[in-house]
This record gives sequence, structure tokens and C-alpha cells, in this order.
Amino acid sequence: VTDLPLAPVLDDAAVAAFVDAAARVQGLAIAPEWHDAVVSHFKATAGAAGLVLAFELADEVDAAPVFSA
Amino acid sequence: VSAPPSPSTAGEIAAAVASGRSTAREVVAAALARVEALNPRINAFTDVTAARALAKADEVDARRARGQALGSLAGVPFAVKNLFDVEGLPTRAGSRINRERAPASRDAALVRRLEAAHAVLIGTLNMGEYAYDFTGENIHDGPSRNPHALDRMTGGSSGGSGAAAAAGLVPITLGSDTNGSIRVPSALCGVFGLKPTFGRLTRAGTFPFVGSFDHLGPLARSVADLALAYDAMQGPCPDDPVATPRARDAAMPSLGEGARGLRIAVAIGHFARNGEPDCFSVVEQAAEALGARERIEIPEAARARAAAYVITASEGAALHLDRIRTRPHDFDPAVRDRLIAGAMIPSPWVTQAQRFRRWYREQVLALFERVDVILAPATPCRAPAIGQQTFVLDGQTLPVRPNLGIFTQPISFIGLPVVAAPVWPDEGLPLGVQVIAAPWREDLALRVAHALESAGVARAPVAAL
Repeated sequence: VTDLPLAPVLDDAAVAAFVDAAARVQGLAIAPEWHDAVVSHFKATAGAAGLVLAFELADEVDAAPVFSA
Repeated sequence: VSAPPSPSTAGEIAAAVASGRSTAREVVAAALARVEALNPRINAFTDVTAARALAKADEVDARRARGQALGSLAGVPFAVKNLFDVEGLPTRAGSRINRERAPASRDAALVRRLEAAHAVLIGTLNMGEYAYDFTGENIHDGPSRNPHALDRMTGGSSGGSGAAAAAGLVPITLGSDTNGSIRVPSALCGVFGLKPTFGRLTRAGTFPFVGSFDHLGPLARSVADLALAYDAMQGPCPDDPVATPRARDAAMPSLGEGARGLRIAVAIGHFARNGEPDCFSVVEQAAEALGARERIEIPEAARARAAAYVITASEGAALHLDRIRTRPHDFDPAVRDRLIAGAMIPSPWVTQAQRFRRWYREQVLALFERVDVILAPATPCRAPAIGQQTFVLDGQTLPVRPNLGIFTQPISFIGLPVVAAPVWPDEGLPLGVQVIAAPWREDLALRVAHALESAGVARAPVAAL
């Protein structure tokens, strides 16, 4: 497994394929003239997520919005 | 047409109405006249509720005539970002889609609380669509315009709230702040803004954006007016699941105590990069006035911003999923395309961002054992031109829209209370200083902002329109 790339993968073709598949699965229509913008926003988010995912957290750290009954 | 004279502060109006030197009707009628004369130039108001306002003003005057006590905001006109419910109006939240909703049957909780203190609502204010915005532009209603330079952005998403306060149309406006939407327009329009602790002010009766980060708060031309409005709006509320059960914790009594004895530090690292030199020099100017020499690093602030970005995109997309599925053509494209992308975010990214939020909160809370208040820039630059798409920060060309919040986002991410204080480095447009305190210590942020105002470092003059 050590040769797997760091997630998330920011390869343009992979991102575009993911966006297209996710749109189909969720029933979201993406007009051709919006497509590049959506892909570019997804890449920006993936870049931000990459920063977060690269940070090592202890297993015990709870997510912030803990529900209180 | 010459505009009616600039109105006074909220505190001055309330004192004049309480003493009988003015009537609430006179004050409200003057505010309505000023809106009529000046709003076409700044596009801050989207609805003016004149008949309701005059009727409410008459009620305030009648109370006084009967010898009944008046509230702390007697006769003070105010206006709210159009994501607040106002009885009889559809809550448009800057969108085309929401204006088809049924009119609200009841005012938002904070509107009711201000009116319980005898303030008078006179209308609703322009905002970026669904609050996913830092510019103050709106494709449906047109951009709000910066009263100090009409070709410049107000900042967003509470753009109308910044513009209306800066133009002196009303002394108090309400906005919302998810990632910086009170603090950015406060800085760019040159007014004071308070983003309280997450959960301090109830959000009941407002249209949401990102439940994890949504805050409401006031904007005004003086710190005392912020404190007056803030004190009138506090208190538990069963209709907002994150509203604090804490009792009211009035800020007004300690407002004039000054900064002496408080440990104040300037944020370095992320907050000393990625901006134009002026945005850092106003922070130094504030630090100098306060005698603050300490420097402090807020750890992993850039990563905090990234985590806030991911959570915002994901929660915002979840909220609007049906609308982006069924009515994508009715959105502002700049909002729609980000929401569509946000709908596709893998869930572990969001959960990790929320887990990182827990870690970051603990680190930052530890800093407040060493300091009481942290100073940081509010925006990386002065107001960009309306329509401007990119700017250059530290030699990098970046999109304006997401990056105006580069310094505000890591702070709201963990719900810290902040006052944005406007500082004018020269004859040009203002910049803002974030005065940041520990959770539930709005009183300290307001005290320090008041000290800056008293020292003449921070000020919010009425724009010469």
C-alpha cells in the first residue's frame, strides 16, 4: 500500500471523472458551461481537504459538533 | 437633493427620546427620509417597512406619554440583513428562489428582542446570495455599494448591513457571520461590527447557511452602540438548539474600563502574511495605542481556514441540495457552482475537518491562559472594485471572493467573539482590526475596541454622500 498516492488525488482527469459520476449518482445536472467551474471548485476543496487530512490527529479526538441529549 | 442631516448614535437617540427632546416618530421619519434620499446610491435596503416603522414609533411615543418606562433603545431605527424573518415579508436571503416563499408569520427572535427594547425596525438589507459571499455583490438585487467609494465593494455577505451603517441610514444594523460576513463588511465600509461567541445570540427565525458556524451580530458606528444592541439581544432561547443557556452577561457596564490590566497580543504567522502592508500596519497602530508588545502564534491557522472551507462547502451544499438539483438556473452562478461541487465532498473529509476543529479549539483556548485579547487584521486589503475577480497578495494572484476572509475564517471556525474595529491609515479607505477574545468574553473585546475608539485610533465616520 505504500505506493498509493496521497489522498486526495488532484489529477484533472480523475477529478472531472469523479465530479461527473457524483453528479449522476446525486441527480445533479451540470450544464456544459458550468462544468469547468464546478471541477475547479471541487479541486479547491480537495486541496483544502488535503491540508486537513495531512494533519495527524489522535484516534480519541471527537468531532467538534458533539450532540448533547 | 440634499440629504437629511446625519443621524445621531443609538445611545444619543434613546436618550433624546427618553427625555422628550425628540419623539420616536421624528427620528424614524428622518431615517426613512434619509433612506429614500441616499439608498439609491448605495443599494443597501431591499425592503423598507415604513408603515410598520411609523406605527411602532407611535407606540413608543404613546408609552412615554403614558409615563411608562422606555427600553434602552427607545426610538432607535434599525435594519436587518434580509435573511432575518420580518413578519409579512418573504425571507429572501439574497436569493431569487426564496422570495417565492410565503411571507414570514413572525419576526426573527433578535428583531423581537430589539423591539422589546423599543428600537424600531425600518427595513431589510441587501446581502450575497444565501450568505455564501465575501463581496456584497448580488446578481438578483444588484451589488451594495461602499458609501465611502461607490465603485468599491462593501464586502459581504452582510454588505447592505455595512453600507447602511456607514452611510448613517440607521445607527444599528444586524448581520450574520459564518466565516467573516460581519467582520469583512465592517472593515471595508469602516464601521464597528461584533461577531459574538458561537451560540451567544439566538438564530431563531433566520435563514441558515452553515449550522456549525452561523452567528448573528450587530454593526454600528460606535462601540457603545454595539454593546447596547448586543446587551438587548442576549438571553437563552428554546428555538435555537445551539443558543447558550447562559444568562445575560451585560457588556455595557464595563465598557469604559479601558485596556489597562488586560494582556493583549498581536497574532503573527498566518495573520502576518498574505495581505497588503496596510492591513498589518493598522494592527500595529492599534497595538501601539494599547501598549501591546507581545506577539502570539495561533497554531495551524491556515489549516483551520482549510477545514472551515471544507465544512462550509459541505454543509451549505446539503442545505441547498434540492434547490441546486431542481432550480440550478435560478442561482447566482458563482454560488451555484460552489454548492454543486460541495455536494460531492467525501464524508471523511468533513468529519476529519470537524475532528481537527476539536484539536484546534483546545490549542487556541490554551493561548487564552496567557493573553486576554488577540489582535489580527480583518481583511487582507481595502475594498476591491465591484466586479474585481482577482487580487495579488504576497506576489500570488488569488481569487477575491474566497480570500477576503483569509483572516476571519480561522477565528469564527471555533466561535471566538470578535469586534472588528475600523482604522483609517490615511485619507483613503479604511481597514479593520479584529479584536479577539476567549469564548463568552465579548465584554473584553468590546472594552478593547472602545479603548481604541477613545484613543482616536478606530472610528466610523458617516460617509459623505
